[in-house]
Amino acid sequence: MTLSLTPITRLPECPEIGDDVMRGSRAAAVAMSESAEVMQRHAAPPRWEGDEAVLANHQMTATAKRLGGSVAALELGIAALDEYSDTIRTTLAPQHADHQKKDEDLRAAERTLVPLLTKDDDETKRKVAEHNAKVEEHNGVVARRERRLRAAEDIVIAALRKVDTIAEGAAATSTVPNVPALLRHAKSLKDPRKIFTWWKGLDRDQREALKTMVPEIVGNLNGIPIVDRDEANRAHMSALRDSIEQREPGERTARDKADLKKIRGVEKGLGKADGYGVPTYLMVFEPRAARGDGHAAIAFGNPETAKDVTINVPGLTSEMKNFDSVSGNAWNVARAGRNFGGESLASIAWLGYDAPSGGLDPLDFAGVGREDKAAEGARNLSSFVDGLHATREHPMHLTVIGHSYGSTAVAKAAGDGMDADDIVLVGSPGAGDGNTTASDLHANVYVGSSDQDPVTRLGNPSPVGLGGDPASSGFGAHRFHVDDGHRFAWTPLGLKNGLDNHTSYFDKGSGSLDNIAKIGIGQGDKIHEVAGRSAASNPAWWTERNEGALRDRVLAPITAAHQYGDPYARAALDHGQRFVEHAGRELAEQQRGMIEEHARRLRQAGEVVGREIQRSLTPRTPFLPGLP
Amino acid sequence: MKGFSVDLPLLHRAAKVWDDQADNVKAAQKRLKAASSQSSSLGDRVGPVAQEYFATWQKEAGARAGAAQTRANDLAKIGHDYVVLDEEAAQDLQASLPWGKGSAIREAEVHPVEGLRTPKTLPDLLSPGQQP
Repeated sequence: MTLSLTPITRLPECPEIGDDVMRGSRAAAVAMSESAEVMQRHAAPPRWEGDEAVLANHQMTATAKRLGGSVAALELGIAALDEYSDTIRTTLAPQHADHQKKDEDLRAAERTLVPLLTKDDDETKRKVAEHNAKVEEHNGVVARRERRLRAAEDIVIAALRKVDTIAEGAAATSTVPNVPALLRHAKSLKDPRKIFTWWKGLDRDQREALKTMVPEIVGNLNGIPIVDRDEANRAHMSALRDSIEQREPGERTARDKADLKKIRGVEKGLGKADGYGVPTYLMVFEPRAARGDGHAAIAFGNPETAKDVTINVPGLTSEMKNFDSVSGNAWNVARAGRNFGGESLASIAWLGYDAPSGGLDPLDFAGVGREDKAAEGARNLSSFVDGLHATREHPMHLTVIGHSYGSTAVAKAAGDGMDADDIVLVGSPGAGDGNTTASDLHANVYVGSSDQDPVTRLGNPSPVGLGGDPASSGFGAHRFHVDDGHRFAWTPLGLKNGLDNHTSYFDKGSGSLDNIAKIGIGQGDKIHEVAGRSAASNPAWWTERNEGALRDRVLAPITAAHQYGDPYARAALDHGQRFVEHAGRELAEQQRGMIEEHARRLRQAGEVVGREIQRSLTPRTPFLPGLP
Repeated sequence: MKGFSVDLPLLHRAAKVWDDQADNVKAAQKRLKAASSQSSSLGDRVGPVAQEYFATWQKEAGARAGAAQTRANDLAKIGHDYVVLDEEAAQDLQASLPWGKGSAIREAEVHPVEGLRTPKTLPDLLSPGQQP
């Protein structure tokens, strides 16, 4: 008897869902939905009872209806494709690689057995029987997979065919979910946990309709799951960019140009993880928020499933258009955390408040000497954190990191009961008036504070600080080591050194970043801890640094512009140089461009300040804390 | 005899609405075209169905965008023609007035609507504060 081998069933290809299919069609649906809504605003009222011919001839009413049909068809089609995509992404694709390996192994074994089939000995019979059993088992797996795929395909095919003509789209408008009613209910809930429960109770069509018609709400509503937020925000951003880019550059309005800058800032942020295999999520996208400066948040890694989650809250000068640098700090934390073994770390760059604008100069110190923006930031941050907790199945270890003015916002949020495990304040001008000790913050409090960072010397008793200096020993936080920077000094020709000490806490390879990353992955006990400052050291520090101030009073009208504009620009260019050394050329060029633009603006600002000083003959020293 | 007058600022605001929506829907059409061309990756069974589905809505978006652009252009042209006609009528009118009384027909400053592309010379009686 001739032995025979059971044929191996061919493993079908695993379908792929390209970006243009899901993200692209969502962006299209959002754009068409916006236009349908605009036309609807100018259309005849729904219960108009006048001449039918006039109604039928009204073009905006007719266009609103036609676009409404397209939107309904896209919502239903995208919902079906989304379900199909989910089945492939979560079930079929992860198994495909295993099945493929099994298929290859069996075919290799088959090739070795074929020459033996003419033999009739027991050993060969045993080998063939063993192989056939494995093949049958594999064929069974492939058949089940095939059935599952066909079932998913049948559903999406039926759904797409149901709305693939204009007439079917028009008919679908009566079956699509009632978005205004859903939205009213969502707005009444307020609590992120209730919003999460409500969202999970919606069907896929309802969720898709909301993402298409009100992406600006779904994408930014705390309590909505991160994948849905990301999809809504990316669709919103893409639709906005596409629409602007449809116009010739010369035809774009000032708002168009500002929006494009903000979008590019966010896109550069998202691009930081390209090539690293780390998923990114656009958690906040509100270009009109913060009086036009915009709100944005990006997560590197999934904060709904990661064991450790960090949130970076930036400070002075942070805006959506320079979100590239804001997200760069969070990305550095993510990478450093992984270097210390934090395999399950998600790092979020969060700009959800109106950070004070301006350069790092004494005028800005005075300008940010109020806590109102920090208080607003604290409220928004706490709500964002509540949203994170609400969408997680398991508890997380959460670290909230505030830099500069952002540290005041973080401290205020923590003081008001924000639900975080660890708080990190770096380059802090103060922990807020209500927080006199670390115990007021209801979390483990860590502080990174360069002795040569002038911003950290603004904490009380300075008149322009924002509460107590968290680096002082009396505050009671864990102060960690920060690399020594340039000595901060004023000179008659302008301060030349030291402002970069305020902007280098997240530099790659720095001691500060290492300590922050350790805290972020729950290794706060492994930081390099150093002693706190004495409470009286800050005024003395300013007095010492202002030794040249008398000469400055004489020279102020001449040197003011230089002093206000050049130092930060120089420090920033130093950073750019380091960036060139450590990062890729392309990224470095982007950074350099941003810095040069910033430097140009700062110089302009400096010139204005210089003229103002010259006009009023007011020396700059009154702006400096610690002077008699 | 019954006559008609045109509210030019309103007419130009309407032209801007059509023009903006033409841009928006045109951008959507491009996205749908890209989605259609990537549909083949969805598999042998779903791919062709998705391609047909996207093709329908891509064509519809193109048609709506084209129609919206035509409306914007037509409105802009009507506004332009209306003002030009007024200039001619003004000259006729001035010719009929007593010599030296022609200043009763005054020339007014006109502004184009920001962002409206066609026609480039579109006059607009909007003052800057009235612009949409």
